[in-house]
Formats: sequence, C-alpha cells, structure tokens
Amino acid sequence: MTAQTEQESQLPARERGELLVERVLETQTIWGLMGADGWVMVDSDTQTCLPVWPDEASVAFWQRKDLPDSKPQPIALDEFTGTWLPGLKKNQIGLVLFPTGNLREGIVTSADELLLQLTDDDE
Amino acid sequence: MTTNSSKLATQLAQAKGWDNLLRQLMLAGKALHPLSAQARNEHSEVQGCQSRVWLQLTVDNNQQVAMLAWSDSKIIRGVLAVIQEKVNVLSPEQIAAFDFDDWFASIQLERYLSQSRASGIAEVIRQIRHQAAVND
Repeated sequence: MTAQTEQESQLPARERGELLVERVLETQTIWGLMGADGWVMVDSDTQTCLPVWPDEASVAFWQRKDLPDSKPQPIALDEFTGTWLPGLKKNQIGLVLFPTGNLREGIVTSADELLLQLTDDDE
Repeated sequence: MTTNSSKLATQLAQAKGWDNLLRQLMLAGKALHPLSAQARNEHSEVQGCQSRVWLQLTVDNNQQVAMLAWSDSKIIRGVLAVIQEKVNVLSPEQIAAFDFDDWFASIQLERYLSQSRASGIAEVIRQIRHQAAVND
C-alpha cells in the first residue's frame, strides 16, 4: 500500500475512472474482488455492478468490513474483454470503476462502453 | 458545421457523458502528430506533468505554427491532439491572445487545466505561449 495509491484513491471519481482505463491498458490486467461466494458484486441505484480496480493495492481503499474473506484477484485483460464483458452485458450487469472509501463510490459504466475504451488500442 | 480544422474539438464538445468523452479523447489521441522519439529530451519535456509530456513548437517565415507533442498517457495524448489542432491554425499573435480556459470549457476539457492529478496541461499551454513568442 503505497502513498501514491492512497493519493490516487482520493481522486475524484472521473479521474479514478481514467486512471483505471490507462493502467489496465498498460498492465493488461484488471482487478476484481473474490469473496467466499464468488466475485463480489454491488448494487447501485438501478442495477447490479461488478466493481473493478486498476491494481491490487487500490482495492484496499474500498471499505469491505462486511466481506472479511474477500481477496483481490487479477483478471487478464484479454479474458476480461473477450469473456467477461460480453457476459456482463448479457446479464445486464454494469461496472463500477475504481470505487473507494466508505461510500464505495465510483463511476458506473456499461460493459459496452468499457469494452470500447479498453479495445481502442491499436498498439 | 464541422470543419477539418476543428474536427477533434467538435467531437469532444458533442460527447455526452464521462464514458463517451473519454473514448473520444482516446480516439483523438490517434490523430496526434507525434514528436519523434529522438526529439523527446530534457529540452522538450514539459515539467510538472504527472504523465510525461514532450512538446515542440516551431514558427516558419509565414507565421505558420507547427506543434509536435507526445505523452506516455493515452488520455493526455488526446488532450494534446486537440490543442495541436487548434494551435496549428493560429498565428503566434493569436496564440498570445487566445483564451484557452474559455475554449477548454467549451469542449468539456476544463478539468484538465485544473485537475488534482496535475496533468500539467496548464504548463503545456504556458510552454506553447512561450515557444510561440520566442520562436516567432
């Protein structure tokens, strides 16, 4: 848990969303949270969402006292864009990007939109 | 009406929502005329940017400005491409007088001039003004 990560966790939601997209493209890895009963999902106002983070350390800034057995798990970007996002779309599950803090806030986006952002890469 | 000289800016101005704006910005980055790897050195690097940014601006005898830039960050490359599109159609005099704050607000990019992550775009604008003035 570095000072940089702590600083990043306090950025406004939009900037955390941008940071997630950039870092995931760079590292080719995205992080979710595995709980006792599978991947952790959260309910936003209107839909169920999968929370995702740019790296393992940033997950620590999300309050999860109610999920004592949960553990950050990496997902390879190829697998995420090829299998996960189409599956989430089919099940109408959204995504919440780099949520942090007690309020668990983060930008809520759709599988379609995140897929476009994460595959706009021609390098 | 969209003209070729403001295509990127128009696309941003019309983007709806954070997601779409980000995607447009990343697409805009692909249009950036890059500063070559050899020219990215301590002279062209813009200080004070979280993501590394390099910038070079030249003015020819006809007052034609040519900006080249690069950043490690895909998103910042998008911001630079939009600035480049604008700066390259302005004369050094017009650059000195141009209200970048106002223009950034009109294309939904004001955040990049003041954001906490200190992307350093404000410093990029200072460098553009400085180089346009001294290279004129």
